[in-house]
Amino acid sequence: MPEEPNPDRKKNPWVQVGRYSELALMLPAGTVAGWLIGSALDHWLHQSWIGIVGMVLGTAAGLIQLIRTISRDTQ
Amino acid sequence: MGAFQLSATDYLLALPMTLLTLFALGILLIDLMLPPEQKWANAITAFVGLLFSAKAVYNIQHWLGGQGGSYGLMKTLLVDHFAIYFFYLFLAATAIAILMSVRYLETEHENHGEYYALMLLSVVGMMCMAAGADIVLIFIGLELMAISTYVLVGFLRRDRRSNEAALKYLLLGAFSSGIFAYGLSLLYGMTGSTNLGVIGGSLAGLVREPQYKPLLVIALLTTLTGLLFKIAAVPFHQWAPDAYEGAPTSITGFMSVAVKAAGWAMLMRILLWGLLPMRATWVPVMVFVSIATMTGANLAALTQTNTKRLLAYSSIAHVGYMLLGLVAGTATELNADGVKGILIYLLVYTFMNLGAFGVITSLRHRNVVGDELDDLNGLYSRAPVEAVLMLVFMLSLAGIPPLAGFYGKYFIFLSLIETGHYALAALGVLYSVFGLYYYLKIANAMFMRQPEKGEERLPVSYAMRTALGVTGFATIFIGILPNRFIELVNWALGIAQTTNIAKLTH
Repeated sequence: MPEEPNPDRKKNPWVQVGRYSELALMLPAGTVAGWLIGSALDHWLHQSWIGIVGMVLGTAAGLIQLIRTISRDTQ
Repeated sequence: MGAFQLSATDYLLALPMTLLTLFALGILLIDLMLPPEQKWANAITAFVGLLFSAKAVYNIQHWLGGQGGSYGLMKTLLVDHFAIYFFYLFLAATAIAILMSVRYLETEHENHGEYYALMLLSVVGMMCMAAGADIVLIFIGLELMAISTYVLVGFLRRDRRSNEAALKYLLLGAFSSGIFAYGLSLLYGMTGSTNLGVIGGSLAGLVREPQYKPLLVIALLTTLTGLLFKIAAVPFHQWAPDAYEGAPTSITGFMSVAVKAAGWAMLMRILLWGLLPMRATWVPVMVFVSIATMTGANLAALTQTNTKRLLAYSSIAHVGYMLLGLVAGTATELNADGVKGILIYLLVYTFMNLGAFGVITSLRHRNVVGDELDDLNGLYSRAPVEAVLMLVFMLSLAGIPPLAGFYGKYFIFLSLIETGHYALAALGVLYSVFGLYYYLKIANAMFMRQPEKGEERLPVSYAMRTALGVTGFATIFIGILPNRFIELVNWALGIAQTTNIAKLTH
C-alpha cells in the first residue's frame, strides 16, 4: 500500500517552493534538454534536423509530464 | 466668458456616445411597457444601439481619412485611430456579453431592462476614457463606467455573494478613485492645465528642476495607484477575485475584457502622453508591479477550485505580462513592439476570455451552477462542442501557438528581448508555464474526469451559440492569420494624435 504523504511536509514552504518551481521548469527544461540532445546528435552524425525534432520531442515530454502532474494533483 | 457653442465636429465626434446614451434611456422606457415574458426585447434594443454606435464610429473613421485624429468639445475629446480601435473593441465585447446574457438573466429571474441600459452607459464611460484628452473627461468617464459596473456586479439581488461583491467593489473602487483624483489634482496644480498635452509639455520642464521632484513623485504614485487599481494589478487587485466570483457570470466576462480594456486605454493615454516625461521614474515601479502581479496571480490561481476565481487570477496574471510591454524600451523611449503587444493582447484577450466565460455561463442551466471546477467534470461527454471550445480558449489563454493568445505574449516578450530585458522575458516565459498548469487543470476536468450529474446534454440558446461561435472563430482565425490584425494595431498606433505614440512606428 502506498505511503500517505506527511501533511506537515506538504505544508512546508520549501516543499511548496520546490513543487511550484518544478511546475514552472518542467516544460522549458524538457524543451531545452530535447534541443541539446538533438543538437549533440546533429553534431555527431553531421545532420541539421535532429535538433528541431529533439526540441519538439522534449516539449512533448515536458507537456506529458505536466499533464501527469495535473492528473495526480486533481485526484 | 463667451457662451460655449457646439460645432458640427463636436456632434460628429460625440455621436457614438450620444447614441448609446439615447438607447440606454430608451431601454429604460421600453422596459416599463414590456411584459415579463418579452424582456428579451431589451437585449435586441441594446444590440441595435451598439450597431448604430458602431456605424457612427465608422463614419468618424471615414471622415478622418488620412487625418490622424480630431479634437472636439473644447479640446477635451480626442478621437484618433487609437480611440477608434478601442471603441470597436468595447462595442464588440459588449455585443458578445449581451448575447451571453439573454438566457442567463432568464434563468436567474433577473431579466430587467436596467441591466442592458447600464451596460450601454458603462460603454459611454469607456469611450470617454479612451478618447479623453483632458483629465476631467477621463475621470468622469471612469466614474460613469465604474458606477454602472458596481450596480451590474450586484445585479443578482437575491444572491448574497453578488451583493457582497458589489459592496466590496464599490468601497475599494471609491477609495481608489479618491486617490486617483488626488494625483490628478496635483498634476493640475503643478502644470496649471487639465489637458494631457499641456501637462506633458509642462512636466518635461519640471522634471529637470530638483525642487519639484518630491511633489512629482507623489503625483505620479497616486495617479498610478488609481490606474493600477482599475486594471487590477498587484497589490491593488484584491477586489477582482471577489467581484468576479460574485458578479453574474456574463458581467464577469464583460468586466474582464471591456472594463479592463478601458482601464488600459486610460492608462496608456495618461502614461504615454501626459506622464511620458516621467518615464524614467515610472518604469521601475512598473517592473516591480509587473513581477508582483505575475508572481501573486499565478501562484494564487494554482490553488483555486472555483473557475470564476481561477479566471480572475488568470486575468490578473495577464495584466502582469501586459505591463512588461510598457517596461520594454530605454529610460526615455518606448519600444514599438511592446505597445503593439499590449493592443494585440487586449484584442485577442477580448475573444478568448469572453469565450471562456461564455462556456461557464452556458453551464448555468438545469440546476447546475457551473462555476466550480467540479462542475466541468466530464463536460466533453455532456457537451462536446463547448468542451472543445473551452480547450481552445484555455490553450489560447496559455499562449500556445497557433492560437490568438500566442501573439500577445510573442510581441511583449519580443520587445523585452529587443531592448535587452532578458531576465524579465525569461520570467514571463516561466510564469506562462504556470498558467499552462492551471488552464490544463480545467481541460483535465472536462476530458479526463467522469461527470457527476449523469450524461445529460446541456441546452444552449441560439444567442449563446452565436457568442461562442464568434469568440471561438476569432480565437482560431486571429491565430492562423494574424497579419491583418497586426496591421490594424499598427494603424491604431501609427497615426495616433499622441505624438509620442506616433513616433513609435517610425
